[in-house]
Amino acid sequence: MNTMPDDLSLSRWLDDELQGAELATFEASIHDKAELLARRQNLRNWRATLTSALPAVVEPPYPEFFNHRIEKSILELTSKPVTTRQRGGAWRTWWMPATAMAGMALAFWAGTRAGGVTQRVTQTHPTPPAMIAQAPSVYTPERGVDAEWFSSPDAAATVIVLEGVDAIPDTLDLSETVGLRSSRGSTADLDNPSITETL
Amino acid sequence: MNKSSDIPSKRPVGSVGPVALDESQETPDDDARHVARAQAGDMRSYDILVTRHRGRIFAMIRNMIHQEAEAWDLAQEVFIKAWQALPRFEAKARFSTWLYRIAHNVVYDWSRRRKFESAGEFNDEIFERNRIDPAAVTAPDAGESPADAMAHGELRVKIEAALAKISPEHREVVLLKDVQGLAYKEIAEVMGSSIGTVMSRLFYARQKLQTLLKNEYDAR
Repeated sequence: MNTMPDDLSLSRWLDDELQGAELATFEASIHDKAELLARRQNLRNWRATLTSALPAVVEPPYPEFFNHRIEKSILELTSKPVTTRQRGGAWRTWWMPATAMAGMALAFWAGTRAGGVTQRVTQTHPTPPAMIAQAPSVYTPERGVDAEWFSSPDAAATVIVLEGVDAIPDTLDLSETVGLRSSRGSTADLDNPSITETL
Repeated sequence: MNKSSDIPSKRPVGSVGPVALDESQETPDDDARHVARAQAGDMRSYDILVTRHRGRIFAMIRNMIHQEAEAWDLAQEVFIKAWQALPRFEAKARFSTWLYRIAHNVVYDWSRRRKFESAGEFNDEIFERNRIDPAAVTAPDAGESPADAMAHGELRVKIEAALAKISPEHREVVLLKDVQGLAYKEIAEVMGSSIGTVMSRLFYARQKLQTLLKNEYDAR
């Protein structure tokens, strides 16, 4: 009767995978227990060394934002229209290029006809691109700070309200938060000589 | 896909340890419940699953590629792909094992893209030690003393350097077994190989790493 453990069982025992009846059966089958116990302890030490330096769980930076981005991506994916391949048949292979050629010829003919006509160009005010109704993505990295947004199409305004932010003291000089010293190269600089001179 | 540039510029270093939300404290069996709800389209349940598993997936990918920002993006890609494939997920394997499988594919696709973009041979150069961001040190546990933190930080750098010297397959098998604690059968499922191959890779990977880290390993 072969009582030698197979390689997989041995490996699983050395790596502490065996449990219950499997463990008992295996341990009953091994003879040179001292040598194997030393090997198992060696592996346990090795795993302890690795896991002390490389934790199995590391929260990604900005975990809430991490989840939020996933949800946003999923919603974007699901809102896209599903494109299905239409059955066109063989006629499409020649009909579409022929139509395209006919269209090009028609456009060329229209161009030659319009060439001699004086065109009156009227300058109109450029119209702004239509605003796309889109829910803003609001993220607050600080714990305890909640953000709500309100949108008013009539006022063409969106207001973001932050709850839980520390009050800004009246003594804070907001101009100090602006880069005044680099007077060139930044569009954020204040263009006020009287202020820059006092610095 | 998500670009690192979209991430707020001042990013905190990832924290170590179990996630803080209550959902993360549930047993693995609860995964099945949340998976069933997510398969029915419940985003809240999927969000819970993401919260429960993001730490492990992010850690695994970060240890594979040694690039914090890329790991952040790739970990997101894993969860987005998992959502897309969720209708096909059957409870034959654990949800976590299935996620590791997707992470395996995402990392290898990324490696292939890198190879294509750089038009170079695929080798370990992309994982070279000098590409490891020294500023990407993981925040130590709150209870850790400064001396311990420094020792662990140094050890981590040495282990990462050693991991960078072995092949991606050997690195992955060590990370899955010795860091993530997967069983041989699960690793075989994740890597799409036989258990024999897993055993063989693990044996040689451990030998190689222990040789590279001999001084550190003997001192402990």
